[in-house]
Amino acid sequence: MTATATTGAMARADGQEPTLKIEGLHVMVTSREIIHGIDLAVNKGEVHAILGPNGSGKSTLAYALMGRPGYDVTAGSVSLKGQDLLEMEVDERARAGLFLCFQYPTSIPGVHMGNFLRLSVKSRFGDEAIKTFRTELTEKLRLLKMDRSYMNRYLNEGFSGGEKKKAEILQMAMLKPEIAIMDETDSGLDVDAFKVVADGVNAMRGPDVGFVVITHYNRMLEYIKPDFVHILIGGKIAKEGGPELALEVDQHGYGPIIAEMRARGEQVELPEEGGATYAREEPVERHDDPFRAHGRTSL
Amino acid sequence: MATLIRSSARGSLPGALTTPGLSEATVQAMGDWRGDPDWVRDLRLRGWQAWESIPMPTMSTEGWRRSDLRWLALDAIAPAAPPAPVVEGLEQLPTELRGQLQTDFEEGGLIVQHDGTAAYATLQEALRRQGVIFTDLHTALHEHRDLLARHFMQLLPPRWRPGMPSNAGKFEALNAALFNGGAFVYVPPDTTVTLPLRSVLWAADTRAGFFPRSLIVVDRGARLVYVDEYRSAAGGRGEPLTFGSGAVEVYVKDGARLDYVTVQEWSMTTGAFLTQRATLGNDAYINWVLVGLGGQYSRSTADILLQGKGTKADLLGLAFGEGTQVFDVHTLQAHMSPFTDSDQLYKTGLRDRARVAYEGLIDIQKGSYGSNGFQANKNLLLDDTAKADSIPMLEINDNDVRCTHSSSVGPVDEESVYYLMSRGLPRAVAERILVQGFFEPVIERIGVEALRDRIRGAIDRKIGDR
Ligand SMILES: Nc1ncnc2c1ncn2[C@@H]1O[C@H](COP(=O)(O)OP(=O)(O)OP(=O)(O)O)[C@@H](O)[C@H]1O
Ligand SMILES: [Mg+2]
Repeated sequence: MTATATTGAMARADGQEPTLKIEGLHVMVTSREIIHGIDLAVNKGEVHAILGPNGSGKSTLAYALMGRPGYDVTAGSVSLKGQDLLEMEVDERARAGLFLCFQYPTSIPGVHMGNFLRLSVKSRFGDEAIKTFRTELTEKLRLLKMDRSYMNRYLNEGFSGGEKKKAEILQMAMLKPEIAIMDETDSGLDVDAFKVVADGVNAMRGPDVGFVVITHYNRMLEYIKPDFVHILIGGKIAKEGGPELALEVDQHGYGPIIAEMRARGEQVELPEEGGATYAREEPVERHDDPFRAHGRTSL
Repeated sequence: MATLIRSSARGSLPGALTTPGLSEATVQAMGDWRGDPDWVRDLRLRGWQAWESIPMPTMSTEGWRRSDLRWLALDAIAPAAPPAPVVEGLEQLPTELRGQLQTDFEEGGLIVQHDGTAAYATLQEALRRQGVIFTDLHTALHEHRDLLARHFMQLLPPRWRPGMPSNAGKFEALNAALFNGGAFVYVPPDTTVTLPLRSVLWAADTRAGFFPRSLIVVDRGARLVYVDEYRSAAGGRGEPLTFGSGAVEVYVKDGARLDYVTVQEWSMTTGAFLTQRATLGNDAYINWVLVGLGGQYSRSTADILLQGKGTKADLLGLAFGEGTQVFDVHTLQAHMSPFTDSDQLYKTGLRDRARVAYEGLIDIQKGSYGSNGFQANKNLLLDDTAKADSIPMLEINDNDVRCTHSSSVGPVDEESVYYLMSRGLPRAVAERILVQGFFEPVIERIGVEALRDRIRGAIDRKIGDR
C-alpha cells in the first residue's frame, strides 16, 4: 500500500462512514493478481475520476465491486452504506444502490428493453414504482434523445456503440443508484452522442449519488467536473489529487507518475511495453473473458 | 353464433369399446357405433391390418433409436370412453376443462370435444354463409361425403406407402383403425377467415385410448387461421400412462394461406403420438407453429410436403419440458417442386431430467431447382441433468438449391445472467426472462399477432409454475 499517495476522500468532515468504502482490496483474475491493494472512499454527492493506462486494472476494480464471476477478491474489504458489499449477491448489490455502466454491455436477444427496464425498476423499488414508471421513462428518454422504439428492441442487440452507452445511462437514470460506476462510458462516442451522455450524467448529479468515472479522456472530465482524481497504474493507486491532476496527465502522460512510483521503490507492473497509451478509441473484444474460458456457449 | 352439432354416435357405447384390449372386433364395433359408411369401415380395417403387420418399433428401429416405449401398456387400454353429453354453453363443461379454454382473442368458431364426442361447437354465422364448414369429423363423414372422400386418409393413409419414411406407419395405422373424434374444416376458394377457428380435443377418461383425427382443407386462394389444441386429464399415480394417437391431414391449395398453431398440453400422465402432415399447392403458404408443453412421453411428427411450385413454409417449434418428460420430435421439409422455400426454427427448453430427441429432415427432391431449405434446432438446458439430442439431416437431389441446417445445445448464458442480475434481478427472475427471451424470436415469427400472447402465456405458466 502507498500511504503517501492516499489523500482526500477517505476522511469525512462529519466523521461519518463514506457511502462506498474500499480498504486494502486485492483482486485476482484467472489466478493472477491484478489489483494489489486499493483504498478508496466515495461519498454521495462526490464525483471521483479514475484514470490509468490500458490494462492497469480499472475495469477489474469495477467488476470486483459489482461481483462479476471470475473476479475474486482475495483480501481487503468493501462496504456500501455500512453493509459488507462482498457478502452480497450481485442482484443484492444492485438493489442496495450500486450501479455499473459496463464498458462492454452484454447483448441479450429475445429480451425486450422495455420489459427488462420495468422488471429492474420493480426489483429495486418495489411494485409501487411501476405507477410512475412510464412518465419517468418518457422524461429520461427525452433527456437522452432516445426514441421510445428502443423499448421494443432486444436488449443491446444490434445497438451501435453509442446506442449501447446511452442505454446504459438510461438504465442508470431509471435505477437511481447511490453509487454509480461508469467504465469508459465516453469511449467510442461521436461528439453528439458524447454530449448527450455527458448531459445525462450531469442531470443526475446531485447530493443523492456518488460517481466513480473511469475514463481515458479529459474531454469527459471537462464536462463532468470531478472532485477527486485517482491515477491507477499496475493495479495500485499511484497518485491522487483534485481536478488539476487530470490536466497534468493530459499534458504529460503517465510517464512521470510511473517514474515517481519507481523512485519510491515500488514495483510497477505494466501489462505490455508502451502500455501507457491511453487514447484507444475502439473497444477491443476480449478473448480472455472468464465466461468464455469456462466453455459457456451463448445460444 | 349458433350451435351446430348433433351426435352422430348411435346409442350408448358397446361393451367391446369400453373393455381393455384392442382387436379387430373393437375396430368393427367402433365402425358400428359411429355409423360409418362402408368406405370408411374399409379404411378402418386396412388400418387395423397395417397395425398388426408393422412390427412394434424398438430402440434399434431407424427413427426410434431414442424412443423408449416401455411405458406403453396396450392391454390396459380401452378403445374408447363413454361419450360426454352435448352442452349448450361453455359453463356446462367440466371445470377442469373450462379453466383451459380461456382466451383473450375473438374466435370465429370453436369446437370442444370430450373423449371423442363433440360436446360444444360454434361457428360465426357470417362464416357459415360464406360456405365455411367447421364441424366434428363424424358429422362431416355423413354430411360432406364428397369433400371428405377426396381428402380423408389420402395424405396419411391407413397403410404407409412405399417411399414414405420408415419410422412412420404403426401408430398412424392404429389411428386409422380406431379414429374417434377430431375436427373437419373446409374453407371455400377465395374465402378469408381471419378470426381463428379453434379445436380443443380433450381426453378425460384416463383409462381409455384417444384417437382423434382431423382434416383441414383450405381451398384455392383462401385463408385460414386455425388453432388445434390437445389436452388430457391427469391420471392416478402408479396407473399406466393414458395412451393416444392423433392424426391431422392438412391441405393448403393453390395460392392459399394457413396459419396453423398446434398446442400440445397433455397431462403429465399421458404418453401419446401426434402425426400431422400438410401438403401445399402452387404458391401456397403455411405458417405452422408447434407448441409442446405436456405429456410424459410425446412423439410429434410434423411433415410439410412442398408439392406446388413457389410454395413457402415456415415451421416454428417451441417446447418446454420438466420432470422426466420426453419429447420425441420428427419433422420433414420435403421440397418436391421448383422454387419452394422452407424455413424451420425449433427451440426447446428443458429443466430437471427432461429430454428431447429432435430429428429433422430437409429432403430436396429431384427437380426442385431454385429452392431454399433452412433448419435450425436450438436447445436450452437449465439443469445438467436435462438432455437434448439433435439430429438435423439433409438429403439433396438437386444442385441448384440452398440449404443450411444448424443445431445447438447449451446452458443459459452466464454472462447474460450476470448482466441482468447486475440490474437487480434475482437469479431466478433473470433465468426466467432469458428462457422467455430464448423463445421470443420464434414467437415473433408467428403469423397471427393475436396468437402470440396466448403462446407466451402458455409458456410462462409452464416456466413459472414452481
Ligand atoms: N477476464 C479476464 N481474463 C484474463 N485477464 C483479465 C481479465 N480481465 C482483466 N484481465 C487482465 O487484467 C489486467 C487489467 O485489465 P482491465 O480490463 O481491468 O484494465 P483496464 O484498466 O480496464 O484497461 P482498459 O483501459 O484497456 O479498459 C489486464 O492485464 C487484463 O488482461
Ligand atoms: Mg477497462
